[in-house]
Amino acid sequence: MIELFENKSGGDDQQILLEAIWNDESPEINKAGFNKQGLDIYRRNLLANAQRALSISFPTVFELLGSSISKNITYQFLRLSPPSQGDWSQWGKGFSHFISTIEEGYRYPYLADCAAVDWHVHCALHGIDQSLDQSSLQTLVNSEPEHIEIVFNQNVKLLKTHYPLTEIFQAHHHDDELHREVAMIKAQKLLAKESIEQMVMIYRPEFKPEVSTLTASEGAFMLCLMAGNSLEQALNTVKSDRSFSFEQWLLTAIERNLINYFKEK
Amino acid sequence: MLVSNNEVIVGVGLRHPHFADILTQPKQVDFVEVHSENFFGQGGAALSMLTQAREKYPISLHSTSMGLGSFQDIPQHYLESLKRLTEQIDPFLMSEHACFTWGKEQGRLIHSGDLLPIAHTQRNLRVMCEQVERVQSFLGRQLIIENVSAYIQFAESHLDEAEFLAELCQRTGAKVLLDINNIAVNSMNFEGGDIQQSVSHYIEKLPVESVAQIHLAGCSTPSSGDLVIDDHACPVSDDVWHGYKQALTRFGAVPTLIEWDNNLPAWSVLIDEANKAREVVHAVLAKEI
Repeated sequence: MIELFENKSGGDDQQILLEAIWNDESPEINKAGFNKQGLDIYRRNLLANAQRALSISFPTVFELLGSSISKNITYQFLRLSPPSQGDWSQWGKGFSHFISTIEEGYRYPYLADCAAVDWHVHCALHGIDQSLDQSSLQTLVNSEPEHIEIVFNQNVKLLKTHYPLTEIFQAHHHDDELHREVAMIKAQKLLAKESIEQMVMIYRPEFKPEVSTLTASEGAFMLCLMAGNSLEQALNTVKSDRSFSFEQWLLTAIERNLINYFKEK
Repeated sequence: MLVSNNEVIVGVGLRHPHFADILTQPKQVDFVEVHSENFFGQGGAALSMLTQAREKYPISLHSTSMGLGSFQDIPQHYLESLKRLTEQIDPFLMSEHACFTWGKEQGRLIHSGDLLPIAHTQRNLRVMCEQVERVQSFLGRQLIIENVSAYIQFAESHLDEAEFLAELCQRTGAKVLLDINNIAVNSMNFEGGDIQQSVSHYIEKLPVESVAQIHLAGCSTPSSGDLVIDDHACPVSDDVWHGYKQALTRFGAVPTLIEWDNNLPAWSVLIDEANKAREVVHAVLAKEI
């Protein structure tokens, strides 16, 4: 068993209690003489709090796996990545990667990407409130595309995946039951295919985060802009796609609250 | 701002399922209390709700993760989040627990995820005094420190928790948040279960002016032989109501909160509990006069 906790000159009693709660095979437990029933309560509380936190931050993963499996996963993740923020809702940044390393992640290869979507949705839910600075629209009138940069709302995230993440997300979280059923059927069909590629976008129009799929061109265009390139450079990435319209994209982007402001480069 | 102890001020803990109730229903309690950490996000619906609720109710910010008794320093990022929220909400009370939460793991700071008890020693008292002074100075606010329920005991404790808190307040200018149910839980788990006597012993060691808030809660009945767990999942028990009367007799009508976290009932049930608390205060004050 790895020694998780270190002793220091002050606060030995606190370190010993922490170790006794986190490591039930610790040799310190008997020496400290803590009541086993009491320790078990703290152990169960820790696991229950952690499981509750993950179930809130990763609702899709928890629905896909079911609670009995999730308890074991919670325990493993807790040991690997203990909380350090003092706020359970900020715990779980590495959960998607962790999922990709465990048996359930191998068995359901889309699970890790579902966790990544869940995490971005969770972060967007508590993210800073941003909306378009209308006055910055003037930059589009006054400047050439080569000198224009678009700064996105901080709650906008893009994720490239080989799985139908949007459909899986909608199948579990869309408000409308019929929409959920249709999304589930679509997700199952797409999962049966050998290979797909999706660019998924997480964004927050008002308070409720949304998940949608971008076309390849929309994805390439936005990724280029998000890397800090000019509007002209971004437009060059989609010039071969005649169906892409910047004007149409801009209207949708404003409607979806994707843009924080425009600025001159 | 602390309220004079002649006013009858009763509030309830506000949790997520009641966000709509608080905004849509007429004002029925004097204040609401929220867990600070639930609003550490920089934006979003929850913070917007709290900002709107603030226009209708005084807010008490009750923190659960600060770990004022920790030997490890409270991380700056935590304090900054709390300060940002404090400046945004301007709470009329700010409270935390007399416990530790931070420890080290392979050189890294970790959070316990729970309110862990401390040994009541002079050394731990010095540590907590330093932490309380640092936090009060950083926030520019007075803290109210809550007694905790515990499921283990430390052999090295040579002070009662009440003596520990009294000394802490005397040295730092902080106040006490007296949780009657926590005294009851500890009484049942470690002191033979004579709750009336436990409350009596506890409150007589606290200076009359030291208590700035009272918490009332209920907890589930354990199976025979098991420890009582402070789960905040039930109505306030008769024993706790009785302990509340004892506390009111000694400390006067300090602001009182009904806490309910698990098996959360309808908003109206919380209001009924708050009204019951108000009736108890009036009855005790009338008797005192």
